[in-house]
Amino acid sequence: MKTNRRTFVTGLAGVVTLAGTSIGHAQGKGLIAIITPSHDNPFFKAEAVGAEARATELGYETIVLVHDDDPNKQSELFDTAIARGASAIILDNAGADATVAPVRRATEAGIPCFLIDREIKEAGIAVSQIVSNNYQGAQLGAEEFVAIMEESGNYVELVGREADTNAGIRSSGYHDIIDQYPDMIMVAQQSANWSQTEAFEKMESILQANPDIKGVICGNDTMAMGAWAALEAAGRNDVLVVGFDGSNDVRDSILAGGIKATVLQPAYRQAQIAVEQADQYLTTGSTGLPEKQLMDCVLITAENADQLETFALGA
Amino acid sequence: MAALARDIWDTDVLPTVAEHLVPIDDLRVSLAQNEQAAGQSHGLRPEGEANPWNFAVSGSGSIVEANTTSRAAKLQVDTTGDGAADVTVQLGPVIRGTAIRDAMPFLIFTDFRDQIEFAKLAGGLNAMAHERLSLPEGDIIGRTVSFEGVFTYRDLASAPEVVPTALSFEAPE
Repeated sequence: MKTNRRTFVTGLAGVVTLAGTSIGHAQGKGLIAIITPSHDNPFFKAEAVGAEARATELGYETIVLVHDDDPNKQSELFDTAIARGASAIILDNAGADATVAPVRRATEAGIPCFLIDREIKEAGIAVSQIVSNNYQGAQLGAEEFVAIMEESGNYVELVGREADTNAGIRSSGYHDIIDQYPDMIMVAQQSANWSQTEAFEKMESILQANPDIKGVICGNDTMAMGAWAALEAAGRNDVLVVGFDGSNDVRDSILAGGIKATVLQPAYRQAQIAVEQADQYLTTGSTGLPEKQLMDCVLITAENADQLETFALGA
Repeated sequence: MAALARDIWDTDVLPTVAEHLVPIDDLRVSLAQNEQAAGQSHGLRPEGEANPWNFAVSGSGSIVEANTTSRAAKLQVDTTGDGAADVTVQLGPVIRGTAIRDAMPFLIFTDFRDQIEFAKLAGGLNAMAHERLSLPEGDIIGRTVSFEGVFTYRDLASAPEVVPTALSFEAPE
């Protein structure tokens, strides 16, 4: 693999600060802008790394940007990509409604957009929207949760960010399964906004109000890690925790007997597919595929956790 | 989405199932020979990477096990005659998965606002499947059932979990 010269940009015209921005150079097919939420969550980092690696292999320059789930910042990053004359944008967006306008702006500026992980509320603007089959994945996670709870007991649900369609779809996938079991009692349902620290704090206070809980089902792995840390700190290692994403952190926790299960989203491959479709679109004028595409998720438990690495399942 | 599912059930869904129907014994043989070839000749799936094949199948067999009191009621059926169950027929009302939706070439994810709407459509179609079923009274274990329906293929080792579009029971002997 070719070595990239990396330049760290710390500010742009004094208006917007692009912390952690990196620019990779390769020969001549143009620039691909890769925009995701903060890399603090390894899921988004895996997306960025996967997209960047594939783009470099295919001969593109890359610019990697993070919007921190702030629609205003995302909008500014789109302006940056447009100003830099990007050939394509790979995006994990900052909100299903708020993202429609910047994607339209880029498209009208002649920059095709390829979305991963999260949908936007309108079709016909982006070229591709490749998302995990969150509903299918959530049902897998919920079935495992019900099984390890032995179909009964008090439980807590930590939900993701409300503006993100994935928070709602996972929650409804969970409940379509769990609510069929009358002895499964949800004693608290709160949003921890996908955040580990927020999940830690929420879990601490929920636990004080409801010491008699048996399980916690979480909308993503960072919240599962936060919840598990709070439970461990309170000496409640007996509580059964299930996450969603398939991060290495949760894998390690599963292998160490902590968190019980998660659901793998093929984030790395998904980002690579988006770049491949961008390349095909730029080369031939079409991806040959429908705009919206689903990718199935896989249940991860102690049985197969050792095969998991950076959001991909090995052989 | 429940209304859409009802609207298209008789006019589009059932004809699509009928058109692609393959006897489950034949399909089993084809899959064992070559999964991709079997998928291409008989399967239905949305375009894109990593989408599993769905198959419309017909079959019949003896009911080995019946859980009809659960919300996720199921029949375990022996279609090969070896005494062991090899097909699960999902009766619902809770029906797992999105097999019927994903087997319909005219239902395109892009046409729906988001995954939530698309999931509701899958739920609506599963609900239609359940609504059209009727089970005989009394003990059905040991009776022969004939089914048509759709399942999502996982691998050769996993028993198909068929969502039935037609189900009939032979009279008890």
